[in-house]
Amino acid sequence: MPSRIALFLCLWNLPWVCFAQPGAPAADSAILLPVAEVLGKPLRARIAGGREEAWNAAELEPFGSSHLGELLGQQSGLFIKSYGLGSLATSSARGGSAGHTCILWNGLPLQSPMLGLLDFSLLPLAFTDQVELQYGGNTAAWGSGAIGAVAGLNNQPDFGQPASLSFRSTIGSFGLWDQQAKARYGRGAWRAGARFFHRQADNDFPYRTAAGQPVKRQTNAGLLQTGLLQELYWRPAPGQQLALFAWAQQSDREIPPTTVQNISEASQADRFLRTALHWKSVRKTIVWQARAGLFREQLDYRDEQIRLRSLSRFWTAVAEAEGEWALSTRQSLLFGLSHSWMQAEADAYESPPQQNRTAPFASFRQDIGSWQAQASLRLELVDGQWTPLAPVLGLEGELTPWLSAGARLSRNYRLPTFNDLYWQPGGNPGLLPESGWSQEASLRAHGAPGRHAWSYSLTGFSRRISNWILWSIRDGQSFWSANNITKVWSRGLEQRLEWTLAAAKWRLKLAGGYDFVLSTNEVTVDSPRMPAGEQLAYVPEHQAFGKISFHWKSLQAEYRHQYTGPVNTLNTEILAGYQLGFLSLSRSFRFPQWGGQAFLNLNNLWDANYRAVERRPMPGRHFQAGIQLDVRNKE
Amino acid sequence: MEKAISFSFLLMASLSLAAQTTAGFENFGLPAGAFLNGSDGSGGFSSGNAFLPNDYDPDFESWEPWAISATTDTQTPGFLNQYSATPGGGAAGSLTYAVAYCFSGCTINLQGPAAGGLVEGLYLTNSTYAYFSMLNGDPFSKKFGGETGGDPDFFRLTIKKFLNGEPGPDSVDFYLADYRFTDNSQDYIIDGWAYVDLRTLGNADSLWFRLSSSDIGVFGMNTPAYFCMDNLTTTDVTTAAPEPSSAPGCKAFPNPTTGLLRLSGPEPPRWITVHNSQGQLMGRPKAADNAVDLSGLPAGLYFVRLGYGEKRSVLHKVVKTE
Repeated sequence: MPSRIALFLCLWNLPWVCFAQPGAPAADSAILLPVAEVLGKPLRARIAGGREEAWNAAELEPFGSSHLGELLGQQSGLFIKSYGLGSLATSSARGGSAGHTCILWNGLPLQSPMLGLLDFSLLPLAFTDQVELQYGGNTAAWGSGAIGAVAGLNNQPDFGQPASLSFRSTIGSFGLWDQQAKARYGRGAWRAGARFFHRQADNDFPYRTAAGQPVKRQTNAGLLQTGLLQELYWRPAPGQQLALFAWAQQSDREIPPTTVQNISEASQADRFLRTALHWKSVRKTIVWQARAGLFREQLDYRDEQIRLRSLSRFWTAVAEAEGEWALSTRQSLLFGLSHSWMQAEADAYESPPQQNRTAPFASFRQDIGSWQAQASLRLELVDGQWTPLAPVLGLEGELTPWLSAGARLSRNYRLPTFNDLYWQPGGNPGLLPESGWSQEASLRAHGAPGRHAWSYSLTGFSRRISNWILWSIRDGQSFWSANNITKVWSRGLEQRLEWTLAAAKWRLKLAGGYDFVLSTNEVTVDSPRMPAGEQLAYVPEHQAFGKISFHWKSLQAEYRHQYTGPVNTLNTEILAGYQLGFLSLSRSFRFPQWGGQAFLNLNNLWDANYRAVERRPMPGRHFQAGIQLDVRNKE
Repeated sequence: MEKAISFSFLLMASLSLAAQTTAGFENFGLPAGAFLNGSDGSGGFSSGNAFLPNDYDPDFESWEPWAISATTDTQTPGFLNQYSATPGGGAAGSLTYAVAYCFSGCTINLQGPAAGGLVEGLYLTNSTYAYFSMLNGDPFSKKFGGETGGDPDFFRLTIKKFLNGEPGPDSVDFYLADYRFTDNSQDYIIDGWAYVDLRTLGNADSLWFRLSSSDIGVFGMNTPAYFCMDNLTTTDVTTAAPEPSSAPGCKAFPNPTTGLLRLSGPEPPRWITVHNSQGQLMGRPKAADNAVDLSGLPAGLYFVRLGYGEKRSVLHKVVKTE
């Protein structure tokens, strides 16, 4: 039996927070949250001592025709493992695996229970008002998989704003044609919004396998995506909000051949419907929240050439309730309970597996002078079995007016996926969760002399994960199976430097960063071949970027240059490091009742011949250009 | 095609020639398009004097290392066509052949009078799955020659023999695909049946096969670990198969015997094997006081081989009575 194939199907069978309302520092918060100043940032949204990045609606605009993988690949410290334009994109955060990045949609986790991860290329930024990225583990707040990072995609209502209509049209290289429409309307306590996108691309880019080799053209790489997001907000009384979300999307992609494959006839169809209901009640010293989501997703992988069809689907139902008390101006306390149910179907499962998870969680934050201490805890009952207790302790504060420090200690885990547990052959129902302790410490210096502002941060982290799940061949077995057979130690340093010079009509910003990550396997494994001490595949030791952005009146220009170091691969070769340049230009225009923006993005400006995944070619220089029109009703 | 070719007339003409038997797998009577993967729990397949083990897992519907096939699909790539050979049938125009999934080594046991005898040779070819994978590449495996066509790729089958539990010193390598030539026009992937002479391995009671490829990764060999085999020709030791040597002329008596078989000779045997007339290994008794105890065996004809080293052994045909 070709158990490698079964392994491939299992791993390929591809298939979001609660910063949600929690983390949303929205403009409407002042209306909805009269006690926001008392509570500060919600306890689940961030842990003291941690590092985070966020992109608001304006910052996301240049990426309006892109997906989350492209944003994080260009703007964050995450390594995005991209198989090509429009193809599968997963992440490695702080040396973790793809399943170690938790993705939240308005506070609800979106990972597939079959794979424990999410394909970032299926997350259009057109449906997002804000992206937040927490680095490091925070299982105590978000549960399984929040080990390397937590990425939150948030939707925000725009109460107080007039009704509006927006259209965005983008064309680009290789047959890219992206059309978007957004409508928002409100009256009194009601606010409704609808967004639509349609994207198609041939992705038939030219490439060379090596210098001097003839140019080839990518084949079987077409893409067709359509999505609809419906939002409905109701504020029946001051301090109360009910929100309903429905997100339907379908994606049909061809799977291109590798550089050592003549042809491919494979394709993948993803369908999902995600619905969620959120309720929030803000009282003088307490905020109550409840969220419920029901997600149904389907993945249909076909390869006509080899007469293969692999159909899988899953359902997730999740419900959470939490209360956050402002015990005083310096103390906050949170209690919550989360319950989720999931079920999946695939030919490789003997019967559709189900799982129930129930997790009480709590957090307490104490301000002491300019210092802030926080402790959080989560217990999780998974089908009657308790997972390891997941605490987080965080501390941050000012050492001097210009120098602050932070530290965090946490225990995090990732539960085995359905494929790890039940895929036949190889699923192992006896698997334990991957778990381990993480430590990080950071220093941040900042200043704002005159029109200048600068900041520098240095963060060091260390994380050891035991019971790391690998598909391997054990003694006496003739097939690949999931086993808790290794340990991984990830550690590294992250540096960020920013400098801004601002005037009345213009602003110049320079930024740079360098990440050094060692993520090594600590146990020698024969099959797959993983010597102890070797860097994990697809975890670059070095990543760096430099960025310069300039705003003048309605003009905006940004150039970003990034370097990704060499990575180990799943074969014998080491994938060479590469440098990429990204240039974006935009001009916005405003009139009383309408406005808009014209934009041009040049990607891979220097036409680098590179690969993020071995045997998967990437496009050379290519562009996206478009226009956005916003029409507003009279105030 | 089941071939039980008797060369007795040749034996009469020349003592150097021995009776040969060919395992062609036609004895399973498979119609075109059919295959046997061991799902009936048979544990293996006997043809001629060869026994091809099979381990079938009903939970996973997986098998290894041997299956018997009469499938004829030479066009469909991929593992769903895992039972097909590139020629679309067996060797020499026959219908049936054997397919090996050999990720970590696989074995054929020789039985009956062929156990311990010389192995003449066999026919080998690529499975359709491996062939198209090497020719065109697939999502996990490279097309041979790589991106430029110049990679020195290979897909090699190594065959060794075992005799009385000991591996032979020599091996035979057969390249199912070879792209190591400086002149790429000479690169090839086997797509027809090729005869491989195994006489240089010497006497054997089992053959051991191992596949290796230039396309390897952390999960092991990327090239699909399949090959196809047919017409394995063995030599019967009972009819004076060429023994290389100077066996020490040990005698065994009485014959017939009711149980105790006494041995005489200049040195005691290092090992002893007992096969029944169907070629099944009945045991590996130890000699004690220059005698072998066969009392536990039912009455019948047995082949008792006395070994004095790898290339020195003597076979006795012994009748056991009650």
